[in-house]
Amino acid sequence: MSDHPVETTPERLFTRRGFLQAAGLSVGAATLVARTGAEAQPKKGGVLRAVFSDGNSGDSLLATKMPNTWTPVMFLTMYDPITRLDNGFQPRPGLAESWESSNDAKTWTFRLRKGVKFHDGTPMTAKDVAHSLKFVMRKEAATYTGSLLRPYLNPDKIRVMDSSTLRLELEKKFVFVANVLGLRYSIVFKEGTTHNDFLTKKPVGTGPFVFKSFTAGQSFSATRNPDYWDEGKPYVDEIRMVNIPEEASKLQALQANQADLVAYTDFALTAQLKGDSAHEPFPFKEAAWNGLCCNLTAEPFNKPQVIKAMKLGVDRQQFIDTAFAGLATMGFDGPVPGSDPYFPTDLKPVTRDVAAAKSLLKEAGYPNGVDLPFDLVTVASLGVNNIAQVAKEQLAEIGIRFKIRQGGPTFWDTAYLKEPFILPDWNRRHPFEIYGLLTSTENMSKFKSAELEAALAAAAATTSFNEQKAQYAKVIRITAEQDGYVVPAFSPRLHAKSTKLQGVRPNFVSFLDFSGATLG
Amino acid sequence: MRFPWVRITGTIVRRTAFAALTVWIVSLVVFGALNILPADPTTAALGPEATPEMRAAYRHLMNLDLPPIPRYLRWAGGMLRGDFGISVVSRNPIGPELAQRAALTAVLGLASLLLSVVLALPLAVRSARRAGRLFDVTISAAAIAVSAVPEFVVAIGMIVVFVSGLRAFPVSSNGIAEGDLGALVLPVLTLTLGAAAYVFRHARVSVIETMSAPYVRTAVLNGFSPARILWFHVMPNAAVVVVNAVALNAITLLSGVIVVESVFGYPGLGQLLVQALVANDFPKIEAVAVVTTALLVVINLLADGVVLILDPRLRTQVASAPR
Repeated sequence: MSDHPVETTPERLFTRRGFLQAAGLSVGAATLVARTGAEAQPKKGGVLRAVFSDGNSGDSLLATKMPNTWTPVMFLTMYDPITRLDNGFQPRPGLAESWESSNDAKTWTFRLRKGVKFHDGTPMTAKDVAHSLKFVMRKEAATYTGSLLRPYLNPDKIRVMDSSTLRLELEKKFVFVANVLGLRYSIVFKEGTTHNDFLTKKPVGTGPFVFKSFTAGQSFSATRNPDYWDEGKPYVDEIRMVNIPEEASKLQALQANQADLVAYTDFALTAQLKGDSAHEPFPFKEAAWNGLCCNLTAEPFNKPQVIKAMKLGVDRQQFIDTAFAGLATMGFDGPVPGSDPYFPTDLKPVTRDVAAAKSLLKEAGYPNGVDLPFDLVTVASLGVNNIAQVAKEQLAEIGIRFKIRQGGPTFWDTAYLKEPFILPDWNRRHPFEIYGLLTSTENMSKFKSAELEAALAAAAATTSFNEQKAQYAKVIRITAEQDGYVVPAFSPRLHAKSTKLQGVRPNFVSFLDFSGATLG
Repeated sequence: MRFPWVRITGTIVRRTAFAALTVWIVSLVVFGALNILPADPTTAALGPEATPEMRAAYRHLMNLDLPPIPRYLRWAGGMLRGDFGISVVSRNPIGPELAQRAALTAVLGLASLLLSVVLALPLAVRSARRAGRLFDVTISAAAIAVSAVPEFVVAIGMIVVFVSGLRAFPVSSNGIAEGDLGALVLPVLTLTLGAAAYVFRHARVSVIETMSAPYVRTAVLNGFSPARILWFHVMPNAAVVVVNAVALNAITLLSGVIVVESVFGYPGLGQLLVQALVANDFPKIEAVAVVTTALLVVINLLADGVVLILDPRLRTQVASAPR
């Protein structure tokens, strides 16, 4: 799934030389493409119609609030983050063309792309970027970027060196600054923009599309930005997003050619699209993890043999085939998939062994299996009930029996971190992010390991990708073997689209990037 | 009996007071229920990745950390002044959005009601006049069948036929906000079918009963034309039942729009309520609940008033009722 260019490893991107080489390669590649002829040019024009279902009347044009899938897609068509994250969570040049850090990773200098214009024609400068960063870092803005940066960076230490150079002087070492600046809340808007401006004025960003209209919970449209800095892009003339909450209606909209893409749909859809040559499932693989999360302080999960038995008791391939229509990949009982750049290549998925699982349960004092004294509480998310059902059947075969309870829309408030056995839905994240959460406020399993903490600290103390990888390998292995997560498969986010629609890039920042989309 | 209108006015005042009391009790129940629920609006406002620190700051900003009673008083006081408050998710005023959505739901509801009466009444009269014959049996069976099918299924059926099959209308009805009347067709048809079946069944029975009344037989013996008997003797009396059926339909439609608006993405009150529930947007849920209750109460009052006008016997009863 990693989409690094072969010549540009994440290790090298941390150095200035690496960047210059990467930039040179990009220019070379662009020239080569230009010489191969006009037929390689993507087709321009057309209106891309996308259907979503979680737009809400509570949504607004306040770009520091993105609580669902609709809002990031909408905002990231109009605004760009400072850096760009690839699907391996590595920062790539975006509005910031290059960056470097001091040896102690306390001073970070970002050089901004020149010639970038806002939608109103004014040039983007370091002052705009500094303002945007300070704005999202305010406590009352309540953004994820703010909560990640505040422990390290005082907003007063965001320095504008010149019109295209920004310097961040951190209070303590933080090696993932460029990653954080690629997150969806690290977007750039004009200097002086206030909270009220967001709510009362037309959005003005540097993104590939220019705001046209928005009605909360219903629709959004934006037109092609002819001055977009990413040359040639975007290709379609207009994006129209429509909110249809009902799954069955979404599919009908696609099949009646009233939509080109339906976002976030059910796995059952793949069967309905069989034999439809004009439409196809459009999965974003390894986008999420839906694991059984066991609180290790609750009996019987407090016995390591029980957790081990559960990990041995699940048939991962069956999960992939039945719960995910074959679109998932093997899970490693943790939040990082096998294709992640940090994943240890020698770690293999656990093969099902019913006899060994039963023997472990016997060792734990459950020779006849165990009826869990609590339910598995599931999040209200597409496909999760299938996962719970398959888990229930498979674990019953080794002797672990439980009931399933749907957590409904209040899952995150009533069950999450409260119930001892839950099935939540998490978007995939960079290991530093997800482990930062899982070892602090979001520790669903209550797992504690000094070895894991030490490895995380060591990974966060180096700018070397290889050293980070060695440390994260330890973390991922400890999680897989000891932590209370049973993650049989890494799940996709499933969309469906017209076969004519090409070039849409699913990702973890905006979820769907339409800047490269074409309508054949 | 010297001043019957004084008693009628007294009845109206009493019923209006009861209506206001009903709305107030509903506001208390809804507010109380939402406060008992363990749901947290900050999840929808900030997303699941919000940290406890972010949530606490947001709760304080939106006054969600105030005790329930001061919050209720503040909210109820605002409602009395016509201020519906601010969404705790979007932080936008609720009033204008509520007005716009209510207007669109009113269009949907009124169009469906009107169409259901226009469709059902002639069929009911014809069926009543041919009671027991093939036409009556067929239409009555169809009406029962349509009444038994949930609106959700009817809506999906409409989409399959008119969107996937005939490709005549859009799936999404949110174009109605920009004046696209085509977007109104499928939601209206869906609601109309059930409503028309209900009106048909009540009107048919009422017409049959009225036609067998002694005064109708007398009119027949007097040699009045069938049309005169129908329109001047039967229908005014059958209309009382029809008005009640239409009022009940209006109330049913208010719940039906929740399903229909969700299926078609119609931007009315029903969709607003569902979205507010998903987002735990408490002030918005409360506002929609109170406005909907008020609407139901007003519809009931109006229906009572119309029946009172149509049926002189009721006027007499009200006027002579002991105080």
